[in-house]
Amino acid sequence: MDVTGLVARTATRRVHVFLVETPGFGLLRMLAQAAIAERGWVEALGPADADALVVCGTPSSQLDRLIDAVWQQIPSPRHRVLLEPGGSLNDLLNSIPAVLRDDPRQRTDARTRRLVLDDDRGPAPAVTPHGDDAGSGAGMDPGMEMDMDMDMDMSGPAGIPLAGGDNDRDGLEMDVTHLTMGPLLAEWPADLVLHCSLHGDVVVDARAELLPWPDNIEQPPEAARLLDDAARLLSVAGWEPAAQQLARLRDDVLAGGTVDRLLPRLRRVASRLRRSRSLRWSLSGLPQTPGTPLRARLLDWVQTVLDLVDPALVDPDAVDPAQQIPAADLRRPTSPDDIRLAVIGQELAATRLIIAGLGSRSRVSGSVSHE
Amino acid sequence: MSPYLSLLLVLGLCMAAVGGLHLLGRAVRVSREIVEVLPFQSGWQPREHALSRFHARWYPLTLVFLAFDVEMLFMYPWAVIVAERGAEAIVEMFVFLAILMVGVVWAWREGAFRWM
Amino acid sequence: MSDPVLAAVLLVPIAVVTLAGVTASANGALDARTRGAPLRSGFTAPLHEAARLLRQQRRTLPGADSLLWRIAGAGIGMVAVLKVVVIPFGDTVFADLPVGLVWFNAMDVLLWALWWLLGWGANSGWSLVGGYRFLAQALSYEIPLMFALTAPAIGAGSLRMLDIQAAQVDLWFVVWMPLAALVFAVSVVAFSSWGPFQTALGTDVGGGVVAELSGIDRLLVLGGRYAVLVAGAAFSVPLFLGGGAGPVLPAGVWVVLKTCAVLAGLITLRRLFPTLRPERVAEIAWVVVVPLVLVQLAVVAVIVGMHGGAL
Repeated sequence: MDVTGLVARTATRRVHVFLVETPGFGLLRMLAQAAIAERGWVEALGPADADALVVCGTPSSQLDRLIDAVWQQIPSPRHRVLLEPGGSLNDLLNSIPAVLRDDPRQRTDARTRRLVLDDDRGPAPAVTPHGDDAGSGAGMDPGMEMDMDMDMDMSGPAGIPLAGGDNDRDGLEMDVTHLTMGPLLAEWPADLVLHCSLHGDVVVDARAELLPWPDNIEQPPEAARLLDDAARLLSVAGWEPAAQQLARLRDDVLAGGTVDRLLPRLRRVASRLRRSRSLRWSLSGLPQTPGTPLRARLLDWVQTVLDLVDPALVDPDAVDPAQQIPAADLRRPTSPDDIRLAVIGQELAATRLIIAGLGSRSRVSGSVSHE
Repeated sequence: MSPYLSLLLVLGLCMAAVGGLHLLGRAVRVSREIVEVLPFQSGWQPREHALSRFHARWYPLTLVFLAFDVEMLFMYPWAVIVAERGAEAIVEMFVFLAILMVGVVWAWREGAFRWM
Repeated sequence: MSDPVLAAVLLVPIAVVTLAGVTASANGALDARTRGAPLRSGFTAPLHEAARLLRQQRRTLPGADSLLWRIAGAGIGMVAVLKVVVIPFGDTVFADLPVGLVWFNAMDVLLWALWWLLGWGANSGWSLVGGYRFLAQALSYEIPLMFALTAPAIGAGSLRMLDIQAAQVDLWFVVWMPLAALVFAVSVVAFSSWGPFQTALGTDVGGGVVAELSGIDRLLVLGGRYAVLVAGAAFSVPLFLGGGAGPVLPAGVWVVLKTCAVLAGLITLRRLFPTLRPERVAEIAWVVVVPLVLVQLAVVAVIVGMHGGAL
């Protein structure tokens, strides 16, 4: 018995997939998620956890460079596929395990990979406009500033500089680090990039960037989109089982599940979310959260889905698109500047919650352009 | 055999098991080389090393914690003699704990248990 | 030491790994059921994941503190095994320490260092934040945990696990120290960074301390995390659940059965609650839980003082 072959077969039964959603291709990503779950596979949180990189939708050249950089971070065995609208999702996914099992191919791939600095590092994040660069904060004496510049010039291992200092909000000297979130990040909006300057895990400054959407792409039905938003928020809030329930409902909506199958489950989830005291407690306590509180927004999304799905409530003659917008979604930050102000002063995990709480309404359809 | 020797034996065994697992991994994995990659920042290039002076905003809490942590040194020996000494031991320990709790209440009022 | 005992000592790591696998399998099956994935894929998840991670290439990062990073990764599972070694299975204890309870405490404090080093070693932003979040959480659970550990020690008048078990012949400690037992169970979840206390590995910090781990290094951490959960559940048996006491079956079997029952509770806990953010937990832990546990201690101490020993 060939042991390596046996291990390879066992090892590729549960593929971890890192999904990349090109802006505008949310429907494709949701279909991929459904197919992944159906196979008993797993969605990876990052490249270290991934076997396969599945890109949903044709990426722009800027996004492509980012995808290349993340691809470099996936350990072998690895495989990368591009999923396009109209392509066969099932064939594409089914081809992955065979490639991962292909030992000679993976060995060759593993042998030839090197970290080539300056080239393979990926794009450099732009400097944020508010002067966090090199820690030139206000009120610092020139001598300090010179020190800092020397710090920044000093190259650490692998040609990456060490963190430089800055004054924190209490006037203490603090190291500043930078972290860019998105667009390639699990449970993160595909069209948002957030360049953050951090003191520890506190966002002291940020710059948000919204990526453009292509036109004329099929969007998921409203109910599926709202369920997706809710599942994402719960996932970021660390309630995986509840998020899985919602994700499953989303898949069923996409697959055209019948109302009498969907409705009882939806009601159960909705009442579970409403009743959970720990969720109420965990989603509150974020100071200065813009717009409606996170929990109210979440419940609003789920309630809107109930209204959309419930035949007793749907009046086919008078469907006003504006009626379907959860009330909470009409009052929330959507412009890059709003987002920047919303996250400054928050800790990283809270930032993730705030972003997940934005949902995906803002850029979906022209029918809500009455704002 | 001394129980501490048993512990050492088990520790040795654990290390051997981890070593064995590494050998097994070496035998079956696609590449023996450890691949060097950049930290995951959504594909963007890191601007500096992550290791830095971290802003631990909960440092007031660490001081309260230390007070109680040291208190535990007395707690364990005390637990053993409660039955023997009775009321005397109980009163002494809980007066001490009450004093520490006053500290907790003060720290609470000062906002040491909240940080954002 | 006789040969049978030696053989038994060697069995401990195997037993811990097996139970960890069973726990992961049960948890995987529940997840698969919720998600609508094939149930079988959930049950077999530990096997497939182990093979997958063994076959996967290891990673490192520029400027990573490799030695400390790898020590932390391998250490988590070892701490779990070292905790289990002092647990009595009936009259048999693999390492009969006179201070077995303090040993458990020492090992669980070691987890502070290990989780944090795991986050530190990678030299990656997400990992580092994950490591520090564990510390913030640890500041909240550790003191209640240590007080909860003291309760059985007062009840038995000893720090030796065999004595603590023996003191429960008439009445299990969980009956008259319910609050201490509950705090202990919650702390087990917290030091395993599991369920509502999974802050160090949360999705909100991109996987946190495991964000940069692949291959065997990841296997050791994720497996070790289940092992720590098993060790914590197993320790609740001699502390609060009467140890090996039970009808018909041998004491050793009862210890394992009770451990499994506690583990089932811990798995369920993960399904019921979202993650509790450390900055929210701190205030509750210090202002509500610590005083409550102290009241529990006072009740136990007064009962023991009046009664001259355990109930």
